[in-house]
Amino acid sequence: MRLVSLDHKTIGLQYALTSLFFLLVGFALILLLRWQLAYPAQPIPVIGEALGDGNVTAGIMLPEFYTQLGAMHGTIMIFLAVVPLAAGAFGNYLVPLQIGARDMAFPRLNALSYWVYAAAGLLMLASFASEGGAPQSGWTSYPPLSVIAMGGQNYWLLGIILLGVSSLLNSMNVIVTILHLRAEGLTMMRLPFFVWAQLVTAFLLLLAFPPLQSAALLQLMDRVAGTSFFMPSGLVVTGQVLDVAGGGNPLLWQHLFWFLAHPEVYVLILPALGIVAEVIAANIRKPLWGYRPMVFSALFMGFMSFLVWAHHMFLTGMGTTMSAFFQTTTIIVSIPSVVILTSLVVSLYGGSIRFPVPALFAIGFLPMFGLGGLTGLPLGLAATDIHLHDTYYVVGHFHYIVAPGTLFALFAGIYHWYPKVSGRRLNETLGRVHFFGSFIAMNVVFFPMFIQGLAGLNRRLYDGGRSYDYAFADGLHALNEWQFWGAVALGVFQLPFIVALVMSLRAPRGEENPWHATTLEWQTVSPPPHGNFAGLPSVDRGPYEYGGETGGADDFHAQGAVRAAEAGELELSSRRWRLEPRADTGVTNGALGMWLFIASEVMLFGGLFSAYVLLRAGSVSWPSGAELFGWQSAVIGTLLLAGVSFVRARNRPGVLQIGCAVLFLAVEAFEWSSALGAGITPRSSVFAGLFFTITGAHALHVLAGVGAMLRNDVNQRLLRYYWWLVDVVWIGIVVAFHI
Amino acid sequence: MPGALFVLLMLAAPAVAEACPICFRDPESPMTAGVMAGVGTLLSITAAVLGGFGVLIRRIARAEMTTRPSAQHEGGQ
Repeated sequence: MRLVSLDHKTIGLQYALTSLFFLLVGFALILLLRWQLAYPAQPIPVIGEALGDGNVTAGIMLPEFYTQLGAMHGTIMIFLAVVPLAAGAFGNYLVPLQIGARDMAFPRLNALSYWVYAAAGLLMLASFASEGGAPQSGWTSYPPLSVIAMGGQNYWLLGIILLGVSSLLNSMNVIVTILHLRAEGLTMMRLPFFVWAQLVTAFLLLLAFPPLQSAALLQLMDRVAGTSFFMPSGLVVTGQVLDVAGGGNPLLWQHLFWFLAHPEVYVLILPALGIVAEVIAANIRKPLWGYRPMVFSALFMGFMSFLVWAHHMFLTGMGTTMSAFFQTTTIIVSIPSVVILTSLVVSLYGGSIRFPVPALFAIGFLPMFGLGGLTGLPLGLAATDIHLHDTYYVVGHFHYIVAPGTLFALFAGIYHWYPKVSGRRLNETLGRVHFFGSFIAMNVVFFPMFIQGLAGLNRRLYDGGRSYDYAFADGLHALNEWQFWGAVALGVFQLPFIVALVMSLRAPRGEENPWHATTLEWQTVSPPPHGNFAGLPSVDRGPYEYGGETGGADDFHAQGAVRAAEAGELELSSRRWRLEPRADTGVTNGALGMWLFIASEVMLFGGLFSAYVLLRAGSVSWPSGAELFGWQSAVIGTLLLAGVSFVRARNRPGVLQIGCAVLFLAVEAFEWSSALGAGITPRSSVFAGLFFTITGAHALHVLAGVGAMLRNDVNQRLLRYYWWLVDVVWIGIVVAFHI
Repeated sequence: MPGALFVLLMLAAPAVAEACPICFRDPESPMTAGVMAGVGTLLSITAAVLGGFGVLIRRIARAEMTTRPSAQHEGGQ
């Protein structure tokens, strides 16, 4: 395997190996944390002394280190392990194969997506070595704590911004690939459910991540440039009033953070449901029950998941109107999950169920995910959330979704497609030990959290609540010891999986299609060659034609076949929609990619302008932009940007267009310099901070546009769409800061 | 006795009983207004972008309806 490759399979494997490494790191961190909860004030065995003076004293964990472990466990597991494994690894490796494509639509961007993700992960890990250690403000990074925390938080924020870039590149690729590179005859309603799940997931990542990037940018400004977007006036820290301009609102972070972090739950769940659907279909030997409702439920879930984020803010005092709205949408969004889960369960009825290891993990996923989902309902109701918020109940709920839920699905996928990736099967016996051991251990770890949480035990307490007046919790502390040993057992039961992986390297090659599965990836050799298929795949039926009635004599019908290609046909098949628009979408690959990029940028600036509106509407006094910055630069800037967008050029932008863009940057620089000369700095007020941040982000976009105009290999027609975005944002800036 | 007095007070002033300062805050406060405006703005932008994707999905669905050979061999039962 080459280190730098444009092949989607190599990139998928790189994602898989890297995310599994981070999964191991995240697990190691939680083992330490659970030791502290089980045995507070006792030295950590074996490695305690080696953890460093800043983290332990005589082997006993310090509170600062505990908070670092908690924050980084969540961050690593969500952002660096599970999502990249589900979307990056499985999506990259399987989507082109399942739709009969030769590669992703934009292979270079695909490779860049992986390397940006790897850089973000290393940056976040490096925070452990920074002054003051890793971030200590939880994986949610709530201000004001996160703003006044030590240096590691900056690594976290930069990492999040990079992860957003990586997600954007990956999701653009997945969407264009699925919509444009499908094999002949593969209509949307013939797509495997896994592909649908990846498509919806890509939309979620494309649109939900940018507002978090904008939030990370704002928090970075608070920490580095001294703005106070999240810092209220008169904040007292260790007995001193903090020296900030104030006027900010900590709820702004929660608003922008949860706009990503709730859809992120669906980013975890949807690929998992897609994997489980494929594995179940192949192992029950009959078609999935309710394929169409499952597809429409996935789409509906994707749309609705953008409308539920503030249910994480019921206790912030945002008001009953908002609570009622988000409570309603939250209950509504649970319906499609139930439809999909019910379809999968009903599919089992009447099937000739086989129980190889992938099926065990997939079927084990169903009740675990069900438990995770049902325990979420009380958290979606504003009244019951008052009692349960920030308790171990919440921790138990989302771990049932992510650990025995999503992770089981991912393991099902690894065991199911490993023969495709390597040509060899993983050892069945070791796999069974892996499954049953993990199933029991995970329930030992996570089920007691419901008991602790219902009793009111808060999360994030260094000693599990022992030093607080939790008289009611006396009996609950013993559960922490069970949970620690459950976590140890969980670690031990991953060893059979690692041994099976190592053993498979020396195992003989197996069947090309060991599960007798129908979908297109099984119509090529294992592992697939560069270009995936020897000829051109074509599809003439649905993805799940198994069993006596529909499956034919062999118990299944392959979804399609691969026919020999004539000279140049293969090359044309992968290049065709680069040059001409596809009939159904009406655009080329590049144009669709550009529109998706613009949609993502709209959400980025949407996050920033939403911050402006929140802070302005929540402020008792707001300065006049017209008085501070005048109208001249607004008028000149508008004319110059109009010059860039609306002056007609033939093939390449002329001197006039490039000149207008450069002059615009000069006007912006002059405006900044005048403001700074007049004593208006990012620290002066929230308004000034917003001005410098939003105009700065806009100027960077103008600069990027100038760079693109100067390149010969950029499609200048597509670039005009980009300039329209720049214009629209500028209009927003003029309204916000000059009128 | 203090408990009964408390209940009587609550019955006498139900609005005070409802206005839990932690959970629901003051609906007239600038902070509530700010959060509502910020959330409303992001909701509107999201709705507009999702609407755009809705148009794309409709376009693809229409194209499929006119070109697909038959609905017989589609996914699942």
